[in-house]
Amino acid sequence: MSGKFSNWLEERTGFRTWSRRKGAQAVPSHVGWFHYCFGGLSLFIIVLQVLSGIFMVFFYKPEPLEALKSIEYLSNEVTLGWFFRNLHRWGSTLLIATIFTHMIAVIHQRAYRNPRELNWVSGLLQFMVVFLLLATGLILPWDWRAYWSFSIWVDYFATWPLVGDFLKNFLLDTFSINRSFVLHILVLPLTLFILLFFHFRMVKKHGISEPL
Amino acid sequence: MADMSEEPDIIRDPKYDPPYPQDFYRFWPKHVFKTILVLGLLMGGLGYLTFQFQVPMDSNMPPLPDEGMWVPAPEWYLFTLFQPFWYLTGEDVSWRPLFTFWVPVGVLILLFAMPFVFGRKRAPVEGVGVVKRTGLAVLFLFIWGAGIAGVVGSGYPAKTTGCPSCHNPMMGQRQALPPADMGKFYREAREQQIQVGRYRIGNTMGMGDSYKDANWQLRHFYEPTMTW
Repeated sequence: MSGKFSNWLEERTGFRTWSRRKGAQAVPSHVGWFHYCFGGLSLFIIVLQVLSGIFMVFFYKPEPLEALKSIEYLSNEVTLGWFFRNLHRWGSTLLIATIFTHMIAVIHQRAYRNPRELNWVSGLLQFMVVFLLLATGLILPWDWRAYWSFSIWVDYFATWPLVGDFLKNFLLDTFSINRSFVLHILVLPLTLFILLFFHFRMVKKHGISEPL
Repeated sequence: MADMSEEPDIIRDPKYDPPYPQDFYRFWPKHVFKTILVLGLLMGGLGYLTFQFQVPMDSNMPPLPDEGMWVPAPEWYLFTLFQPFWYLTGEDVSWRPLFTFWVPVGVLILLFAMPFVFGRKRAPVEGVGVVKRTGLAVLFLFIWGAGIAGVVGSGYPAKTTGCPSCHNPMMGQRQALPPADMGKFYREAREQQIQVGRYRIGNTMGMGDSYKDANWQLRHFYEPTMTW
């Protein structure tokens, strides 16, 4: 009976053939534990960030006087809310470190060279987007810690030559919790996913770099 | 689980044709188990950190002001970038753009240009010798360590979870939450505080005696009970 069902399912989906083919894919033997795992770890953390973020978005209110209260409610009243909140925070802390380590490993392995230029460029852009996600995420609670980061960011950009004053005024004039929220949960993740898709397509096309 | 008893031999994509080194193993089961192990370690580590080091959110039981020192936090990366405000004060303020703009932009340009400047030739398939390989490993381990050390060194003094000790509703609304209109507060109240105020104790930690500016904010985060 189960064999018949299995055959029926195979005829409809081809899953068995697909899984056999995937299981038989060649993996270069020099893919060791250290150099080649941090990209995958970074992806896994990104997935965790998305899942925990989706959970939290149901409880968060992007208003100056309500943001912190909604996070307090999430942490103290919602079942496992404290877990997802802290997981999200620890995930962001580790994510930058894993991406940085991955970047150093790529340089060490010279995996940025011909023909993997676009792998490298898309990876760098992803790093920048992730950093922007961190910056916007820190603002969302709108506690004094959030004020701290935003006001120093304004000071930071104000020191830039030529465009400093423009950037300073732009940030002050356009800033709102709601806009940071939209950037954090929509614009930046969408940008990141596009870059990730492209990055993986390049990896699939060019494969894993040769060993040193 | 699909029937794997009739597993085919290794399927090699054309991109791995010679002269690529012809030494492979199957994705299943070796690589799958390696992946599960690594991800398991990651999840275990994340779970431990999540349970062990939580952001205090109970306003009825605020943390101590010095809580959070040595506990890694996302703010540590910002501290690294904001160090020019810590070190470059007084007469050295004019040097800040060098470290807030020119150096970061230069690093980014170098990174983006790297494959086009240093990587035009395809990496040699025959690889490098043991000595060179070891040297490269040491070099990049040093670079990685320098980056991590920079983040840890600039971040560890910060009391990243001690803020609610004073910034909580029991201390009043003004102390509990930052202003809603950030643009107005930054341009008026904060600017007035910077211009008129002067830190009452004077120079703290040898890093300045300014009030409410970026330098002060770093000092406040590092030593909230001394700089407030």
